[in-house]
Amino acid sequence: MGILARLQNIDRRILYLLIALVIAAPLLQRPRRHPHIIFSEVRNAYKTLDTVPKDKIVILSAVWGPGTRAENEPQTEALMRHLFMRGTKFVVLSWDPLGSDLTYDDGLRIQREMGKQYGRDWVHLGYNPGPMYTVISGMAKGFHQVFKRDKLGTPLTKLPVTMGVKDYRQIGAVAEITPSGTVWTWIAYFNTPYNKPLVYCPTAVMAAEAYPFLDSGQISGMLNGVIGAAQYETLLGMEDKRTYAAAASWALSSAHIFIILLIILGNLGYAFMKRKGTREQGGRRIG
Amino acid sequence: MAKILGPHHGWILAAYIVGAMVSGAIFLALLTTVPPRYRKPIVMVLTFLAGLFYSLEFLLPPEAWFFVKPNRNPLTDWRPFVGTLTQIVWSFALLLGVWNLFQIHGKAVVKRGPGWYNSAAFFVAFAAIVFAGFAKDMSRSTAPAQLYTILFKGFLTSLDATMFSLIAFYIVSAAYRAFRVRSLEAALMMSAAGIIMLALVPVGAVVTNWLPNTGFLSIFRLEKIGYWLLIGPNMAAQRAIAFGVAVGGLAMSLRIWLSLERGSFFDRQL
Amino acid sequence: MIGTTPYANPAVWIVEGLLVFFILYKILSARRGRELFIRRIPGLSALDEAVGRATEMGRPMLYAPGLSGLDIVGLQSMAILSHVVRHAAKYGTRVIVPLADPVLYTVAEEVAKDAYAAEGVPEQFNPEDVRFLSDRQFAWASGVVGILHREQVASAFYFGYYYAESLILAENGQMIGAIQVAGTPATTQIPFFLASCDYTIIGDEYYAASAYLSREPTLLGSLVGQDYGKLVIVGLIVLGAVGVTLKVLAPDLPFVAWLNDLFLKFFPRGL
Repeated sequence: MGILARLQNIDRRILYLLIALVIAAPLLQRPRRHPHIIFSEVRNAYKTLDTVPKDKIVILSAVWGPGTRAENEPQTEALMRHLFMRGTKFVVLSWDPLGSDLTYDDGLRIQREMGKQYGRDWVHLGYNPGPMYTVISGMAKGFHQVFKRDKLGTPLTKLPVTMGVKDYRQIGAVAEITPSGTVWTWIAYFNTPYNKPLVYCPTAVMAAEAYPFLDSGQISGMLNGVIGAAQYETLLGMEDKRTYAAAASWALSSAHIFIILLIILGNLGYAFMKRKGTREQGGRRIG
Repeated sequence: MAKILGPHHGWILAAYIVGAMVSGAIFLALLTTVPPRYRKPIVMVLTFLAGLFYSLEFLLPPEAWFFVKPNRNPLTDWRPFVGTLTQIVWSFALLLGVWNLFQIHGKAVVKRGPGWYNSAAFFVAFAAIVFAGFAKDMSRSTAPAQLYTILFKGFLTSLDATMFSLIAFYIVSAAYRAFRVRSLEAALMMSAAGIIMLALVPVGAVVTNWLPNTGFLSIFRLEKIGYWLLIGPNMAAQRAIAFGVAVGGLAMSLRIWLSLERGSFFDRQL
Repeated sequence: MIGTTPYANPAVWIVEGLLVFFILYKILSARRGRELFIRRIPGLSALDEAVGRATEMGRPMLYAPGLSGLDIVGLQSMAILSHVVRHAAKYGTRVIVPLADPVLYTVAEEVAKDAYAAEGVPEQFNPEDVRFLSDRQFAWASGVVGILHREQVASAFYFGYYYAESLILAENGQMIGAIQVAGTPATTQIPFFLASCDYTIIGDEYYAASAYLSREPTLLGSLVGQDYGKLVIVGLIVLGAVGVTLKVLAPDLPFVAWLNDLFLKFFPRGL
């Protein structure tokens, strides 16, 4: 079989080895350079959280778990950093039992970096089993009826961040960081009825279906996967820092180029075989 | 009503649990004595009432409840309670699921068929996490908490992330195998996919960075073409599919609510 | 603003009322014996072909309802499962049904049992073929992948709500050479199924499946009613587009301001 013909039948094990090397190299090398082109939806997300009134809190609703940590964790960290920088109080609400510990650890780490304090600047409400629509609609009417204690078991009425939160009026915005289709619940039960801005942080594969909601204004801004997180870090002035988001954006770049090259090679092989088949049949197309 | 439904503790809670189980058993026993020709109408009425709650709660705004002073929708206060009921039903079903797992893997271990040790591993893992979970809360020693951390954060978190990471490999083999340009439509789709793939990553910006940022030529910058594809054709298609799925969902919900749904599960003799 | 309450507004009453009216009207009209046309959906027509292939090869089939719970997506999946199992029962082919939701597991078991009984072969039903694996997404996916490889299934059906595990299942099915038919209302997973499966049904074709397979008048009538409902939505979109366009091109026309105000009043922008 000629080389061109072999191009459409490369052993998948070779492909898997190559993609592992292509993705691992930037992640190990950790390039500093952040994307300098910022999508408008990322800018809008930044502006939304930047303009939350100081007397209101932000809810970071984290639906993610270890599976999508690579995409959702940088988004969570970028949002936490922004809110800490602004001095905006926030609560983290986790809908995944494993994700609850991960988001709590992230909060503790960033709080230490930025000299903030748990209870005074942020609170983690722990894992909530749902159902989501019940919790969200209940919280909008009576925050303390739905959430009584934080992750550590402390009554929310004793924590400075949450003691004054009664209902939707004390909530300035919601950021939903999710790998699944849960944002529609926030839109239907909280953000549209009570006129609150919503920042959507999905994995990249889910971003495409959010554009109608961005267009209608039901979502104020969006962080498109780990790329969105890297762009958000640029807006936070972190473009020279070696962060995972920056490294991941370059890993994605190289992976996308690799896949495009593979598709081109595969199609070259396919076109060659097709032509060869037509020539062998005396120029007649078969099938 | 709040006193009856309110949180309870100790012996009162135990009494409520036992009372609920006894009432449930009596109710189910009474249902089995109902003549077969009345069973379906009972199910239809219960289904209709259950769906009616959510329909009335959403469709009738507070102003419509003119007979309630001040105007408010009284059903909204009951929504958390109704939501809790569904959680309770799901919890019972989880026991059934676990029982099914025990049955299947138990039989495999007893029969000692090929791969029986995998079924034995299920029991070991089940026992370990249940023990670690309870011991962590009940024991004063730190050893159970450490075991819990190893099993939960160490094993489960890592396994979850590993399985998700497989997708990166599979998308390469799927894209390489399936994306063949066999027609004009396929060529258009491939071009759009290639543009979006490059536009979303930093390297895409590098490819067309030499084009000006403003003016007519700026529309050929990759990120601008990619953005137009996302807010133009993609958004229109997503909207269209979303409308179709929503109307289809409405129709199916309506059929189930009004007991108009057909199929072996819905037509079976009760 | 009228739209921003947690309750329905007049626009919702009118639009939903129209949709419900068309669906119920068409159901009643179909029950009265009116013939209704439904176009061919290749993915659903391929179900029988896939069952036949598994029978010829003497290997079992796999039917995975994804991560659906007991909701409309899960119930629709059960309707398709019933059809697949009934066909499989005719030829004595095994159908393995791994589930991720314990409530749906109880329903699937009953559906499979009834399907075998309806074909007169209740003894063919093996309770171990309908099994609950795990409610954790990737634990369920790895269990299904294990079943695919161990049982060397000839045909795999993926009908239900899927998330990221869709590609894992579909690629592993490809590896073992199974014929794969997939359908999900989750638009984000459609590209992965399209790349790896032989047939894929998209969007509301999923909800049309039970009508298509059974040709039941009630279900067909509902399907036609849905199409009329979509026409209502298209009409509203066209009206809105015309209004916004005229606002720019001919703002002085008397009805233009009124039309735009009406739309903004009943369909307000989010924020």
